[in-house]
Amino acid sequence: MNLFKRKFQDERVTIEQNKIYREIYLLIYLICLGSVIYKFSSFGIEIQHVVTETIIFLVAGIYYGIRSTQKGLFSSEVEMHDNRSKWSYQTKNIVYAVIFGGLIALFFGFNSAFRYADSTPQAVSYFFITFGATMMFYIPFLVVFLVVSYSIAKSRSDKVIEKQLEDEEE
Amino acid sequence: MKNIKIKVARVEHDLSQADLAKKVGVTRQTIGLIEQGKYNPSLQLCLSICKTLGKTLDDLFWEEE
Repeated sequence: MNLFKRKFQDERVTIEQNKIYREIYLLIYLICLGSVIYKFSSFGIEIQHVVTETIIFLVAGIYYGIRSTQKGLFSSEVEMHDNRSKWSYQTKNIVYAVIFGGLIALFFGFNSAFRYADSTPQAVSYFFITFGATMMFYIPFLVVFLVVSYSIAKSRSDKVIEKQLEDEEE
Repeated sequence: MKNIKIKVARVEHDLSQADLAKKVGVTRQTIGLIEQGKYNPSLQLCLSICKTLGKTLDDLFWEEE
């Protein structure tokens, strides 16, 4: 019996398996998200309670980013996106950074107003001070972080593609 | 094994890899890898390439002995 010579795999089975792996990933992600929400509501909003979940989110995201760049998939994703969408990938990145920065600022603003203020005028004042300061810090930071990481990933991914196709295109 | 037939048909239509990719709805990398024989396209993608280039599956994908 040629146990080690099975060259062909049933691609239908492989595709279906990959779909299941993708669903498993989503399931794990949702469980972690549920866990974060539960811990925040039960023990208060403290980062030390959700370290494991944060590591899972971060490592999964970073791993996907690195692997998709190594395989040249990142450039393909950008190309597909830019062909289909009115807004470029980079523009969307900046918009998301601004929105996310705004949401973080709102969160910190309300947190500060509800936790530390003793009166309504003080709450309003705390809200705007914290909101403004957080916006001024987080939005530029997120925009720069996303733009720089995008540029690095895109340039490396482009190089991988060029290497893959270098003896093909004249 | 390289697929020269797709490249020839593409050049006949005066299309670059990027042009063909856009018409078919995939990326340039995918077309390049198919032409190099490094990626096996699905039947759906083969049909889409054939229709875009006005060829049959036999014309583009049949390997002659």
